[in-house]
Amino acid sequence: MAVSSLFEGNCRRFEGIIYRFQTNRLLASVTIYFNFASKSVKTLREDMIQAFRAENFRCFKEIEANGLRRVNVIVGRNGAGKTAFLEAMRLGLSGTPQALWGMNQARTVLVGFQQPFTRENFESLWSTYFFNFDSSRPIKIKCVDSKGFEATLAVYYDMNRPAPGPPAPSRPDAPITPVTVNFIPSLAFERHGFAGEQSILYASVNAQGLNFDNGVELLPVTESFGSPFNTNFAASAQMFSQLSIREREGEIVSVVRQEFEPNLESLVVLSLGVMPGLYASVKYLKEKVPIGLMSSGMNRFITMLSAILLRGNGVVLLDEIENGLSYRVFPALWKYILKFAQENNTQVFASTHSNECLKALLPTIENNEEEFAAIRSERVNGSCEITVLPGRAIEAAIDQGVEIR
Amino acid sequence: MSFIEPRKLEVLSRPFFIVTEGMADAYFVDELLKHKAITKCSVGCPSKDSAGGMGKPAFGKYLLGMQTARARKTSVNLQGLLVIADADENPAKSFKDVTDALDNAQFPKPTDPFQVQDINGFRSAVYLIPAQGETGTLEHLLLRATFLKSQGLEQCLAQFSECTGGLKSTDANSNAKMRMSVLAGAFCKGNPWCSAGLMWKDEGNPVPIDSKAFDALSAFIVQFSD
Repeated sequence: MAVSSLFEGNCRRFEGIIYRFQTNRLLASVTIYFNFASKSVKTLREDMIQAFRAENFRCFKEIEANGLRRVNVIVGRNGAGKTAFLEAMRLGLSGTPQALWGMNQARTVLVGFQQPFTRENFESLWSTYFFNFDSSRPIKIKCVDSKGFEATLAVYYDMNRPAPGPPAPSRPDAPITPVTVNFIPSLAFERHGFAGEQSILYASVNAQGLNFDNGVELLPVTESFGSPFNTNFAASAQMFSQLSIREREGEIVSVVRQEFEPNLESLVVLSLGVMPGLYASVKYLKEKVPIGLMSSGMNRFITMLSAILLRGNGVVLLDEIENGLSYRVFPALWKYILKFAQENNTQVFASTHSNECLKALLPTIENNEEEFAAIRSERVNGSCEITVLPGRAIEAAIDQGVEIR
Repeated sequence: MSFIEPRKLEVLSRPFFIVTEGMADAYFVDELLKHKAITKCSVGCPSKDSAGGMGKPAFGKYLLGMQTARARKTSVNLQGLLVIADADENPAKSFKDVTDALDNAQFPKPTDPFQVQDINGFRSAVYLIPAQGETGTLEHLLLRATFLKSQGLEQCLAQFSECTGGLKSTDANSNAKMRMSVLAGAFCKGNPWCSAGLMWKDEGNPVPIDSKAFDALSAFIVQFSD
């Protein structure tokens, strides 16, 4: 590669990193919001994740997915690794201890870390993330974008890092409480970002409990939804608020009016209880009604599309997109997933079990084959394996009734 | 035992695959495989529910869709693909339509019909029915087998075609389909609505599967899958 093109490439990338740093802190400045919505910023990261590799993570001994597209549909039977694939992407794109920690919580397993703070207890929190519970080998994840830039992550126990000492006393005259923390190796997150930046973050234990290093996500415009998310009304309210700030809520209102409720006048976020919620103003109702009372499926529909609108130049991960939705809105769901993803340069990874949902993809995928790929996960001899199917093949298979799940 | 893949093709379970234009052809090939005890082949055809319909125009999508089943980790390693299609009135065009579809689906394509060609370790073949050097359709082949067994039927059906105006108002292929349909309905007494596809299950089926008319095709399938 010529020096000039390498230099230009890095410069462009460097700008992108600044942009991502800034947008990771939504309160940074108003200017950032303007930049976010402007077309000039969109060009900062037009490349998408094109290839993905994971080793020793969850049910994956080793997988490689090449030929990823703007909208990637993840299919497979129960227990074949669909959610694990989304988790692997989430981990690989964020590269933080918090991201990994949140995954078991989203699945409501192994929640919390209780005393005694022992090595066994600490390691048990993380063992399920390693393939076949083998933490002697690192978890390795690599994302390659369409320009060939790579982001890598290795997660492993760092046996050479000293255990953190006891906490400092709160007052100078306070007695130092003797605390015994046996050696507990820290879990290292060794990261190499798309721009070549390197860092190591740790999940460790000190006398007060778990400690996670904070760090910028490798691609912070990543969003992940576990299946239970479909009833998370607070999250949808928060996302809708962010859309409102950017004057983009009209796009969602228009779609909801068209697909769900023709008498919908507006959607607003109101803070009447402990948490803010999304409320709908409907022509024939005297008062605004919580969206959750109208339809949890509608709430989920709004949340998924809002995420795609919000995460421009980034990645959105959607697990079991059919949950809570009537089959009648499946065609519209695909249509707007593609439309919003194209308009906002968002890359989407969405899993589904539903044959109806897949069939509903047909009108959208026709003439847009290059925008789609299917990622099929299969369990083979105790490990899950991945096959990427191109959009043309998905369209043909759905048209011909060939089972791709 | 049937060799026809279910309509919802999912996994390839045999190393050789035969693709036909429609279900009538698939049922016939299935009978032939059973009769000849050829066990290494599966049979499939485009879906009648497809937006593009059945027959040669749907080959491209079916073969492409089939690649998704082929890519499944639990599928057997596919070693060969045989497309059995109607020669129709222009065998050269029919062959080109089939090879274009193979190309579209990224399957190896043979250079000529009626040849089993090994292309990078993958067997590829196209057989145009009724037979080499002929025009026509599956129904021509089935009628030939029927007439070899019951010679009077040919004259009988000719008269029927004449008096119904079928010979004048339809092309040769359509006329063959009409005559085969009439035969199936007449002989399959348990199901007068019987089609050429379903007649194999009826005791009155007028087409002998052991007919010499099918020897060339049987021999070709054996050569393909042996």
